[in-house]
Amino acid sequence: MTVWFSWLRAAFYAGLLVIGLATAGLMIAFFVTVRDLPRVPEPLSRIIETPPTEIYAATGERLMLIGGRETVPLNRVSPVFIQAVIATEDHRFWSHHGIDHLRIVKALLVNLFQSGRVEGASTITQQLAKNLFFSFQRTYQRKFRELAVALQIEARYAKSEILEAYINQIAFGVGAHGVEQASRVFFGKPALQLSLPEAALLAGLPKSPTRYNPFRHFERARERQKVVLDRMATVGYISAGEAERAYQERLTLRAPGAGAPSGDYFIDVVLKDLEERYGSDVVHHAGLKVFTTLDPQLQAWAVESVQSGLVKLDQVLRVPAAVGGDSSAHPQGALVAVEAHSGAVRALVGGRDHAETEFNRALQNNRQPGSGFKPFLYYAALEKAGLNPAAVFVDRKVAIPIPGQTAWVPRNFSGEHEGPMILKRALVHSVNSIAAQLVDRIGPNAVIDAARRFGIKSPLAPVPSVALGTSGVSPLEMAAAFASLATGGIQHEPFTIRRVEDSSGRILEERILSGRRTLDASIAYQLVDMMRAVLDEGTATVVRQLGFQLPAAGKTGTTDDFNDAWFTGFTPTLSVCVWVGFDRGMSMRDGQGRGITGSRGAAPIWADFMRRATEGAPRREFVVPSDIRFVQVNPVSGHPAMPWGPRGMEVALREGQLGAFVSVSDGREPSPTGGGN
Amino acid sequence: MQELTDIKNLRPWSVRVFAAPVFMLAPVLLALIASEMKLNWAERIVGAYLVAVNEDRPESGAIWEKGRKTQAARMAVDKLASDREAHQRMARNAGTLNEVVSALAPGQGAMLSAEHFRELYQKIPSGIAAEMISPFDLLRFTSEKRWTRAYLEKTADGLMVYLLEPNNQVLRQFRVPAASVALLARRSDMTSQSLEDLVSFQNRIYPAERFFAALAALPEEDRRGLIPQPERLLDVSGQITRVGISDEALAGFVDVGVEIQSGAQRRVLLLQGQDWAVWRLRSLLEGKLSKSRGGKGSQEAYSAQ
Repeated sequence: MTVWFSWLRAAFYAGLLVIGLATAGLMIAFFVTVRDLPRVPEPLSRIIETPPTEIYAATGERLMLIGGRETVPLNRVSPVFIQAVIATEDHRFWSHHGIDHLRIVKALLVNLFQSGRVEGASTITQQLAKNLFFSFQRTYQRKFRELAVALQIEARYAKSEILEAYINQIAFGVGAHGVEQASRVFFGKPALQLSLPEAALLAGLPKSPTRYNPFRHFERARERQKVVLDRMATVGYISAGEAERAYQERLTLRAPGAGAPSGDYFIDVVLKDLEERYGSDVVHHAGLKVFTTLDPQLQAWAVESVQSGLVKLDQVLRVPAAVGGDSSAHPQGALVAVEAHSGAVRALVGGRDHAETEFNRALQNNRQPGSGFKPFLYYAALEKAGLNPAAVFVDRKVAIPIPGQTAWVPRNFSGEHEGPMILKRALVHSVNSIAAQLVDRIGPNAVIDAARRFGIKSPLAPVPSVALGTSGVSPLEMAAAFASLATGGIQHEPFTIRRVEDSSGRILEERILSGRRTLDASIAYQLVDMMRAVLDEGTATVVRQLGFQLPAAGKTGTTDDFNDAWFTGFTPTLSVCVWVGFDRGMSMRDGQGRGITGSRGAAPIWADFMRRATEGAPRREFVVPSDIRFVQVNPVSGHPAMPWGPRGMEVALREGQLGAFVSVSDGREPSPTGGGN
Repeated sequence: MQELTDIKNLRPWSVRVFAAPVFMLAPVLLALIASEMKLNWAERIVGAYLVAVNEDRPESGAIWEKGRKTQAARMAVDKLASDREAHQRMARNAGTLNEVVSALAPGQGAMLSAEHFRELYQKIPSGIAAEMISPFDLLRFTSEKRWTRAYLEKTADGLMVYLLEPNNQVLRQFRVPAASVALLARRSDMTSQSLEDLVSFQNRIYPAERFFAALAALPEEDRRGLIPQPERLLDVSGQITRVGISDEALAGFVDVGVEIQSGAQRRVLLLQGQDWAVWRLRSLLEGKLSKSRGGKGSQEAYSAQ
């Protein structure tokens, strides 16, 4: 018994020693740890002083704030929101001093005795400390440091200051930081006007902004709202009846992105451009003022036109509604509108829904343009081969020999051949066999050279089929390239940023709107004249049928198996390209198996957009160079049209190309210049 | 101690457990715990201590990191803006186009008002100026009132000049080749040397009276081509003693060095004459030279050709 007692006594003193050492160790650890604790800024409001980078539209409207915070004092926040936050996150906030003892005990008991349940005991002050200084790594050391900083914050600042800092920096998801921004994003109103149900919904989001994102998971967010309301009732801020009534109240969320200019894809382009020039840190932390080229009204119309066009396409393609958010199951679209005389991008849509997919099809989606590429071929043919729009070629089956490979045998879209016709008619009806003969005559490098002069920058393969658009290009490139025709051969680089200033308004850069002549004005006009007929009597007459009647020119494009449908067209002031297709490159066919062409898929979107964009605008004609003469010719033979013959087709000829037609009018055998085959 | 080892006898244990010190200590401990629960004194002490040592602690953590990024970003932007402002200030204060050009590095640009550009343009030798842009075009742009600013951008191969409308749309753009830019740079040179010190002039140095006599013999158009702005020579203080013609032509111009004596000091003012006009004068001078060799002797034979 004595031995037993001796052991007991030894254990007792050993225990005392251990406790003593542990206490000393803790003291040392405390003093060592606090030496490396982060300094707390004075004043606390300094945490939200980062100036935001502001992006403006061409109209002066602010499109976006990057970085920074929209901060509000507590008295500009709805009291029910403050109650909701406190009830949910830390209901003893007003009474504790950074640590909620009872909650710690409760959390300990729950974590120890209820397996599978993890309960935290972080107070609002601790959460603030964590958000300001620490990573989200779960370690005891981080927790201890966070606790220490929370105690300091409590010792130094009033509860109202702590709460104000907290609600102005917490993340609510979808890029909303702070209650004011969140209130505007989700409900389109200032935080002061939040109702009880709205406040409860918002207060529930910080726990997991992605999981409870009401735009995507509304029911989940509603469940969380119920938890918040119940907590408010439990704590005593509201009665159970009020909580129930608030839960039953209908919540009206603002549509995602509503009210804000719908230029998400455009802003992505601007940001990428800015980051390449200035670096990410400058863009996100220096508080730049960026003045862009975006026209918010045009952009809104562009978005509407693309979305409504794609909905119609869904119906034609019978895409089942059940595919829901699976973006790859729906056809996608892109639209770019470029101001012809400057290259300024006025509207840009990179897909049907930026929230669904940020992949920007207006820039990143290098898809084959098909016949949409033919204007570059025709320009090269008119310039290099001395041809004119009345030159006659024969639409027939052709085989273009390719050294070391099997011959290239392009097929017409209709599968049929019409025999002789003038070049203008061949372009208007997009005859592939004649395009193949042209590229065979001038060579693919001449086509590529012409495309480069139009401003196409994507890689182009030097093969004959390049003339039929087998190398990928982007809608932005196409819109900018066709703008060179609208300006009579002056090429402008497309751009999105007009001016950048620092936060105090000093100019860092401003865009000089210069162009360079890369195309012959007269040949460019001849091409414009040919492309006008595409809308008036060719593959894009749907544009006229849909009510767009102003002078315009363009070209449709459809790739093999109907994977891509394009229409790029322009007026003298605006050049617009529309693309539609599946991201996965699937064929677009309607219920009867008929393919979706540029005329069916893209041109209606173009027409819808242009009708709105030019509403009330004066009628402006393309400038006709002084050496251009118009002649009516037989579209089959290329001879001058006779009153008793078939209906003539008007062609634009340069003065030097009139000779043959003068001789025809003299009664001699017609021999249109520069024809082939 | 013996009695404590006897566990059957609990009395000694109970005496110890229920001793007065224990009864005094327990309430103290309980009071401490209760007061901590109620008053949070432990948190307050720790908090107060941390507030006291706050200034000694490092600026670490996410918020400070963000602050540093903000500061670095602002400094970077500030430098960009300051550099640009410096160029603009220099451009605003420049008295000659050369001053604008020499202050720019390749890739940098400066914005001038249309009025300022016109002033600088007028100081350029007419030959170079006409090569840049016709004065009649400038007159037209001025009268149309659309031209408000000019943007000058130094490039690797010269200078690009953009005449701009108020919305920065380019009315006219033109390139000034590097050779012409170099010529502009040399134009205003006034060296404190004599003509013999300038290698390219050593072969053709003429007494002033002979040079100007030959010049007077040329038609007015040739004289203007040779000395586009004679008023500059009228402005100089001192006596023009000799004139040299450079062996080198640059961008269609040949340097003409005018040596000026004021007291014991000699200076050379460099002018740029159009090459065709200089050639005519040279022929004339060299013709006279061959005549004069017989009469005036070798002391006047400055040209050794």
